[in-house]
Amino acid sequence: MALELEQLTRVIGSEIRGLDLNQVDATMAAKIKTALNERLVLVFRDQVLTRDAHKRFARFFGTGQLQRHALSRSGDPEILDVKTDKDSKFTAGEGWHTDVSCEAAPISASMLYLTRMPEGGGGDTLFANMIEAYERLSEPVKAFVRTLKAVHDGALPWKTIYGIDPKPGTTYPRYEHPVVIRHPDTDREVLFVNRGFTTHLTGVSLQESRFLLEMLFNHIEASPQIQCRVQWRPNTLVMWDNVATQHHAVWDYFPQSRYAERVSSLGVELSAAA
Amino acid sequence: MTQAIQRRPETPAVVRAHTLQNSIKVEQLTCSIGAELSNVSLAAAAVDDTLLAEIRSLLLKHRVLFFRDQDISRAEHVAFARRFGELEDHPVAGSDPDHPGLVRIYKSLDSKKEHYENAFHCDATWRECPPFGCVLRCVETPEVGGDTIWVNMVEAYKKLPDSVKARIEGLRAKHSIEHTFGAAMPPEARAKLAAQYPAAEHPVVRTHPETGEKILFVCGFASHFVNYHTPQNVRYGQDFTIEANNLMNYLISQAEIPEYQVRFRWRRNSFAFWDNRCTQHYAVQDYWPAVRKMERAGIIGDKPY
Repeated sequence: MALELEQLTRVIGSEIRGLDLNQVDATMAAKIKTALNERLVLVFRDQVLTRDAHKRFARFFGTGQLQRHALSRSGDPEILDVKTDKDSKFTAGEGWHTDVSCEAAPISASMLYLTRMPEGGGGDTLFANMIEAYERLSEPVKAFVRTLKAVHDGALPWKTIYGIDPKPGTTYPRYEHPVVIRHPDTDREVLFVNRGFTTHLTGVSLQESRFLLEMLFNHIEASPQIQCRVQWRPNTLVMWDNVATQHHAVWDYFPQSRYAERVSSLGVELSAAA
Repeated sequence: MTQAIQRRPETPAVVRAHTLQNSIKVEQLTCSIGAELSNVSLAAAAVDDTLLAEIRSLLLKHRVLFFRDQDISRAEHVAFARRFGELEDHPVAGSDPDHPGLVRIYKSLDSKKEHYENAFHCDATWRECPPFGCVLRCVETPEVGGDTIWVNMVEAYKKLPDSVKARIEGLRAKHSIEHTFGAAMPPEARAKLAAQYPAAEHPVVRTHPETGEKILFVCGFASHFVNYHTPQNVRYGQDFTIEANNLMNYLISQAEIPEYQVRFRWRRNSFAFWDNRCTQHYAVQDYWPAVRKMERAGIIGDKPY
């Protein structure tokens, strides 16, 4: 059976219809993986999933292992509960970011399942294609940023923004990645710095780092032509390639509540673009 | 300078629930901006004062309205827009010869890639009286791509930190066609354009003439502040260029915040009607090379204050 895909924009995002994720087998998962490599964001509508079924689906991707979320309050570390309500001071993922890029082997794919829509709508998610982001830099800047590395630090969002201390005796993950990485599945060049986790570039002065990172972040934010905007409905699951995208969760529905659950497939260590 | 006319609806802009059930259906697209209206024809609205008043009040509420499958003539398009004021032509984009005021924004397969470039902007703020709003029709569009994003600039102002609101109170900025549309022209042509349309000066925070709301009113057409250089702001020369430019960039970048946006996907005969006083928009140029044809009726507005 071929997948029925409808593109959301030219370069990122497709909606898949007529597929029950409870019924996915290895053959179908391979087709979904091919579609994901191509479109980076897949939107599945009308899914009725238990937590076990959500996790079962996720195990078809990445290394087959699931991320154990340090900040999960769901009772199951493999399920990250994302809850925003009238008492929230911030919402998870409110700025452009790649999930947990501070790990040596960041999440390969994430699957977010909406369990409560805000009354009155809102709460869209935007995604940006970081292969296109690299592609749309000028040639001299491409050549230059390929030579750089950047530090990604979990303490930046979790401690500095959310104010949560790491468990006693531990520190948050911190890792230095190349600024332009090679996509582990497709070999494509990916711009891999994000406002959420990237603290600074190494091998240049801090002032140079600030201006260079700001230029790259602004390039992403000011380029709607590399973005799509996903509108959620009840029973929607969105899957994204976490290495080749960034996302921004829109918080326009305050004081209404929005709940979702995320399961993430682990990936491999990233290497520099050749 | 042309004066804006007919800025107030003949009837109070009140949406009556019982009327809505029988006539216009409203579906809000985000919590911040944009609604899709159905069960209404713009051709019929052009000759129906009650419908027109409802649309006007919905425009003030949602800031951009969308209509699908409007199979109406160019004359009807113009007639609808004319109910809100006189129309204006554009000095760079040409108008339909048979329908003055209907500006053609056509991209064809041989349009250059640069021709598709865009930035968040409010239409024609380089005029002393920028448009009240625009009624834009999609005549032809690729199956995927070429979306347009609108931004709620009332929300953008409201959510600014108080310290920034205090800093920009009373500030004014120049808006020019010279350094935007004129940028790619040869120097002589650019000088001629600048002479014909001298830069306009507007408040950085304008007041909505109908709702009284405050609006963040700088965009890509704004080149610089004209009254920033005061002893309070500037101690040494560097304060002027660095601080003023940083502040301007910060204010202009507010339109990039997704919380204030709606993204609309066009089909043939989709219309958008936006309040140009309190929104910005961005035409996404992800479809080159492809044919995309839009026709815009721009309604003359009043002088921002």
